[in-house]
Order: sequence, then C-alpha cells, then structure tokens
Amino acid sequence: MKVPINWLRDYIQFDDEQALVNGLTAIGHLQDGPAKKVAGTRVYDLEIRQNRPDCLSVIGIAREAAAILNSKINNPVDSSAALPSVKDKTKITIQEPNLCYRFNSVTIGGLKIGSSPAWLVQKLAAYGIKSINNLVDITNFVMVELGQPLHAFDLKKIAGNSLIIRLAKSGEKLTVLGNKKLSLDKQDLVITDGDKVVALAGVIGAGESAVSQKTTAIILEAATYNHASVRRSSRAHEIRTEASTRLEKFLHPHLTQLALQRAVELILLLCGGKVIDHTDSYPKPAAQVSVIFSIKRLNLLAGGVLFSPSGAQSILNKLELPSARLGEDQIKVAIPYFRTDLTQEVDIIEEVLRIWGYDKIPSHLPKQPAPKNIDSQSARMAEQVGSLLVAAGYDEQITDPLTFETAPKLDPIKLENSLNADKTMLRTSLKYNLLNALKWQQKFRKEQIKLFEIGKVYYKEDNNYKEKTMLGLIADSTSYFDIKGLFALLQERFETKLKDSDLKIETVDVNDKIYFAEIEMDKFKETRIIRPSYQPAHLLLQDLSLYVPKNARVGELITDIYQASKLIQKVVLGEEPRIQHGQKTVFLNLQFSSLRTNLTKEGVEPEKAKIILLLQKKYKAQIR
Amino acid sequence: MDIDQTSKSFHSKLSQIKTSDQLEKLKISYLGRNGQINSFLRLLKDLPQEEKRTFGDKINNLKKEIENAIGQKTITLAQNKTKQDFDTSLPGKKPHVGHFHPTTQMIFRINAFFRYLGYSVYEGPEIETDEYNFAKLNLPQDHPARDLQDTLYIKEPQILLRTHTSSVETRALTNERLPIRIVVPGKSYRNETSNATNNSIFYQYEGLVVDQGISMAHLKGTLIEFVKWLYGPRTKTRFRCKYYPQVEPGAGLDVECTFCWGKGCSVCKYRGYIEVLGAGMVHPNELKACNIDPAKWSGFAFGLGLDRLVMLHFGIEDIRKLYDGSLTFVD
Repeated sequence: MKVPINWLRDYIQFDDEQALVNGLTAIGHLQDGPAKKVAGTRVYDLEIRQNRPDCLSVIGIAREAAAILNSKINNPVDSSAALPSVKDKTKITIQEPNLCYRFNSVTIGGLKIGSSPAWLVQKLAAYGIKSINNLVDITNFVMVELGQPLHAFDLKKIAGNSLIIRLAKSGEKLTVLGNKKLSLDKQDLVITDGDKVVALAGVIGAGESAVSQKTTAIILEAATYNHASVRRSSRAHEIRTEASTRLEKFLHPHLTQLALQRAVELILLLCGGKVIDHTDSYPKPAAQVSVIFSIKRLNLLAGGVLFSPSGAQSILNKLELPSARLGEDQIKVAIPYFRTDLTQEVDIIEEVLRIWGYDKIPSHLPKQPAPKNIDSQSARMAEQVGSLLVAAGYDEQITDPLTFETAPKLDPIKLENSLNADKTMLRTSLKYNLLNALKWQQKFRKEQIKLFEIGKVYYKEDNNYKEKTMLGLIADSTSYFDIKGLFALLQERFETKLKDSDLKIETVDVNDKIYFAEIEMDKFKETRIIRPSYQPAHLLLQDLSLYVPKNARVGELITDIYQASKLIQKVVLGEEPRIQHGQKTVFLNLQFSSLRTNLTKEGVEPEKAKIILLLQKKYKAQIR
Repeated sequence: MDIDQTSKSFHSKLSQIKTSDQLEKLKISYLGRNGQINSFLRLLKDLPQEEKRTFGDKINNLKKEIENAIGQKTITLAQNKTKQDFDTSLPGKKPHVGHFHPTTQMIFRINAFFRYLGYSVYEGPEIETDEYNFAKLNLPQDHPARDLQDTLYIKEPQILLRTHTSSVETRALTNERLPIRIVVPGKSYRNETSNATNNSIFYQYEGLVVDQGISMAHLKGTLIEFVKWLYGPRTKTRFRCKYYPQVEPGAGLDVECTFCWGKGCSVCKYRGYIEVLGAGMVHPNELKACNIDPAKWSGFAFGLGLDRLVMLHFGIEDIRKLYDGSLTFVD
C-alpha cells in the first residue's frame, strides 16, 4: 500500500514521520524501501498483511497510526448525512447471494464530467493513479481513502433500469476497459443489464458502459462479493486491478454504504447533479461479531507480562475496539466493520501485544526440559554417510529434482503446471544431474573430479506417489574397483543389509573412465557398536603368492580366507591378478592379528597351512 | 718435515674450499700417489729404527685425519649444493579433501545450535497433500494468503510439491507425541520462472516447539540467541509483528544489515534491516487440526529461507547456481 504522507495527514496529526513509519513497521506493516517523493509529498510503501484489507486504505493506515500515537482520527465520512430517500427505482437482482453479499447503488443525473481539481489529481498521482476525469477520479479517491472499490456505469449505456448479478454463461464475451476481450466461463460472476455483460464483478467493467466526457447520468455501485470468487476470476483472466486487490479479501458489507455517502458528497461538489435513486440489495445483513478473550491466556502467551483487564482494555480502545468485562478473567470485544480479520481469542491477544509493543516482550529460552530425541534416521545417515564421502575426497552437489529425463529409470511423476519447459517432471535418478555437473567441471578442472549427492528420487508405483532418498556417486579417471572399494568402506562403517549385488556400478564413459553408482540411503543404519577398527592388536604380516586356474573368482577366494582362520584380520590384494602360462597369479598380503598374544611367524604357520590347504582343495591353487 | 705444520696448512686450505673440484685437487695433493702423505712415507726408510715407529704412527694419524676431514667436507659441499637447488618458495601440495555443499554446511551449522538446545532434526515428504501443506496450517481453500504460494501440482488440487517445510510441522504434530522440539531443514518448491533471486526449488529451515506453558518470551529468546550465534553477539535485531496464517501472534525477526549498518543499501532493499526469520505462536486452528488441545498445549514455530543466507555467506549472487550443478570448489 502506497501511503502519501500529505494524504495521511488529512486524518491524523503527527510530527515525526519516520518515527511513525517505524512504528507502523513494528505493528505489522513493514516499510518496504525508502520514501519516494511523488507529486509534492513523500510516499511510503507499506507491506500490508493478507488479512487486513482495511489497511489498503489511507483511513485504515490512519487508524493504525492513531493506535500508536494514542490519538483519534478525523473521519471524513459524515455519518449523519444520509443518502436521499428516493428509493428502489433501479431493479437489482442478485441471483447468487452466496457470491454477492451486498449490491448498493445510487443513480445520479445532471452531471458535468470534466477535469478534476488540482488537489484530487495530486492525491491520486501520489498514490499512483492517473487522473481520468472528475467522476472516475472520485471513485478512485474514495476507494483509496476508505478501501471500498466503486464502479460507475453510464446510465445511457445500461438497458433499462435493471442490473442482474449472475454467473456468466460459458463463452460469453466481455470487452473491458483498455479494449481487452474476455471469454468468460461458468464460474465468473458478472453484472449484466439483462441484455449484455457490463462488468466482471469486482474485477473490471466493460469499456462501453464506462463514464466518458459525454456522460450526464450514472449508476454508481459499491458491492461486496465472495472474496474467493473475485480472486478466481482475477487470476483466470489475468487481470489484477485496484478493485480486485481489495475485493478478493474479506471486506465488510457495511463499508459500501460509507463509500457511497462519501462519493455522493464529492460528486455533488465537483460534478454537480442530483441523486435520483438509492437502491440497496443486501439479502442477508451481516451479524455483529464479538469475541471473548481471557486475560490469563493473554498473560500466558505474553510470557511474564502481567496485563490487568483494564490495561488490556485501554489498548483495545486505542484500536477503536469497544470492550466490556465479563467476570474476573474474560473480556468481550465488539468487532467493528473495519476489522474483518478479528474472529477469535488469539486475534485479540495479538492486537493487545502488537500495540503494547513486541520489543517490550521479555526474552528467554524455554525452561521446560528437552523432550525425547526424535531425529529422523534419514537426516542422521545423510550426515554420517556424507562425512565419510567428504573424507574420501568427494564434493557434494545438491541439484534440482525438477528436471526432464529422456529415459527415466522408474515410472516418472509429471507436474501439471510447471512454468519451466525443462522442469516438467521429478527425477527418477541422480545420474543425469551428477553427470552434467561432472561434465561442467571437466571443462576447467584438471584434477580428478569426484562428486556425490544425497537426495530424493520420485516415482509412481501402483498409482501411489513415492519418494526415496538415494546416494549417488560419480567420478572420472577412476575404476570399477575404486567405486566398489568406497562401497566396501560404507559397508564396513555402517550397519547395512546391503549385498554386493545391490550395488550397480555403471560405466558411463570408457575413455574418461567415468563411473556412476546409486544406492538407497535407507539401506544404511547407524552403527550402535563401535567397530574394532582401532585395537591394541598384535599384528603379523605374511605374503602368499599363488597360481590359480584362469577362471577362478579371486573375490570369493578372499572371502573364503576370512572364513578359514579366526586370526585373519585383513586380506589385501597385493597386485592386480595377471594371466601367466595359462594361469592366474594371485599375490596376497595376509594380516594376522590377536588381541591376546604376541604373534610369531612360527605361531601363525599352522593357520597359514590351513588356508593353503583350503585353497588347494577348493581352488586348485599352487604356491608360486 | 713437520707433521703438525702440514696438518695446520691442510686445514687452512680445506677451509678455503668451495667446490668439489677444488676438494678433489686438494685430496690428490695430500693423499695422491705423489701427495704429501706418500712423500712423508718415502722419508721413513731413511730414519733410525726407533724413530720409524713413532713417525710412522704420526703419518698414519695425519692420513686418517685428512681422510675424515675430506669426507666431512664432501658431505657439507653436497648439502650446500642441494640447499641452493631446493626452492622452498614453491607451493606446498595440499591433500585433496571433499566438501559439503554450501547449503549443507549452513544446515549443519544451524543444526549444531538447535541440537544443543534439545531439538531433533526431523524430516518429512516433499510430495505432499493439500491437507498437510495448507488445510491443517490454517490455510483453507480460498484463503487470501494462498495467493503467495504458487504451488506446483502433481494432481491438482490434492497432490502437490510442498511449498514450505511447515508441512512437516503438521506431520510431526499429527504423528509424534508431545512435548516436541524439532527443526526441519529441507527443500521446498514454488512454481516460479527461474531468475537470479527466485528459483522453483529453495531451502527452508523450520523450527517447532510445542509444550505446556510455551510463550512469546520463549520464542523471542530462542530467536535472538540463534541470530546472535549466527551473526555474532553484537548483532542488532528487530522483533516485529508479522502475519503468517499458521501462527498468531505472528512475528518477524530482522537483523540490521551488515552491509550498510542500518543506513539502507541494495542488499537490504533500502530497509536497513534484513528479514531473517518469520515466526509466531502456533495457531490454535493448527493445533486443533492436529488433534491437540490448545487450552493445554502451546507452542512456537519459526522458519527461515536458507538460500539467501548461504548466498550472502559464500558470496554467490545467483540462486540458480546453487542447485544447477555448476558449484565447483576452487581451493
């Protein structure tokens, strides 16, 4: 909301402008950017809360200012000046009382449309609205002043003295101000004259029936609609107007009456003319809202501040919220028409606290004992697995799950309304993004690139939408066995039900030696027991050099060695097996260890013999 | 024929030696076939028997002394030579270590603070339902505040990508026992055309406490402690009223802009302060929607956007660069 300071001063007196704006920021209307000088006054842009349409008006801001300054506003609407009693000559039919709560109108004749006086032009210019003519300017002025949009139709362009508020027919046409042609749908609420559509209700009027220099008589209306209906139409036709911005929020129907009174006063003053008729269709008048709140509850939420009932009431007074005590603890607040946001106890509590001052609320940590830890396993594992990979020299990537995959691994989930053509589905694998990242880095990094990502993949399964967290690894200038070794390290470090067969290592590029692997993160569990990787062990190393048949599986042979001797701590492949004289050479370092005794070469001899015997039998191994 | 004199003159010559060539010449002149030592030995045969022995010993000692000294000098010369060739100004060789993504680093940093205060790190799904992402958060259909959320739909209106991590609040409040104290770092999604400051994916960090007797003072205390921990103990803060449908009273915590110290600059959009946190007391409607009695329990919630924080901290100017795989560690 743009607040021209000179305009604000019409309703409230204050000295220090910046102090006031700081105060408005503190109570919920953030100053957005520095003041700008427009049309001879400084204009502040305030960020208005979604539930405060009353503050989309200068009078609303003045009320907030009055609460800060503890003073009163000058109300511009003379509430004693009733609208003329000539009544109900216009026929107004609300066909959708659930979408249009009140349709209030006056008919004025004998008008002289011309240019506006300088004060009006300047006020609108400061707010950011261009002057059109005196009549249109008045409707805009009253909207910005009071927050209620108004619309004037040229009476000559309205067939008969009749307005019907109904839902549009599918495909019905409307050409609006600015010559934009709309094709309406069945959910659009429209105003018609029985003949043609004259406005998209709450959003914009037809160009044809707009007020022009030739206009001499008008129907001026102020209405309250279902906010959701206005928002839907405004979105559907991509038209946001000053009117729709206000009417798509909760406005009170009472405001229509005040707005018409004010507008009529100004029209008679600036355009001349005479009120011919006042027709008000208000099928179900709004009930008076009142809210009861508890002082105890207020003090509990305030955390150590002790409001007395009268103390709280005096704050409510500053906000023009009349209140009355109900016994010891409770206070009943009558909610005025301009505060549609106040509907329950906590709303009133916030009012008291924000005007009293958030800066005065005490500040301390909760003294309640910390509850039971409920860390998500997934979060803990991501930290621990990630740390191990970082230690192994891998750089983490976080990439956008919104993507486009040409060959998804799983049944992909598509998005219905993505604005970006390259982000129409959710990834089914971490591969594509990681490979892209690697290729990008290859352009300017000479050293080896090793990347990982711990992130989700998404897929459809039996018509359910699923997501699961994966670990993706990619590296160049590497080998199958480097990736497999990293995997072995993870297996060693964490509890896992993962089998070797779960690891699918993909050769992405043979020349660049790029390998990729993807593992489900929920296969890893935190280790509860500290593994004996650091021990006060007595170690003894022995080499074992063998020939085995060409087709022997060396990995299985190594697994068997672990099984064969309890003293074996570790078996390391000394060099890559080679084929020699039609046989495979295997060079192993055996690491024997014992927690109890000093191992000697002679001591491990029987163990080594046991191993050799097994290998001779099972693998037809020969000692080299 | 003075052995002592010879020794003295050898050492004085040796001390002048600068190169191994010179040393080699010196060595030959003393130990060579026609060198000093041999010329002494040649004199031996003419000496009487008893002098032969003492003089012979002296010559042998001198020979050993010279050999040792030359040996020593050889080593010193070699070392000097290496020293001259060894350029210590060359850069050292850093071991290669991996890195966490900047956002992860920030999450770990913040987690550390909240873990210390007894919070659990909690996660929830990214594919969400309208119920958990909106309805239970006091954001019913047609609520004006839904306008702020440009939702990415998988199946409109029920299945969507969560627009904030607040959806995990309602998950936790529905599924976990009270009291509860959690933080939720995670991805969120908005349907936006990507540019330098907006991206369809972004990171939020959410916090939630529900217990008996939780007040605004606890919220304020927690947030101010947190911000001082993150930005430094002298950080100036501003705690003001702010609207979020899922909390009431609602609050915002701003930090004085560290680029202009409150004067107003492009970083803080000329506000002097940077909005860091949105927060407030959990709305009774949210508690009720999660089957919690607001008369018995109260709580606070807060949320912050991580990306801006990460970008300021790491000097990254385009949010898209955070998550498009182009971040390269350049150390």
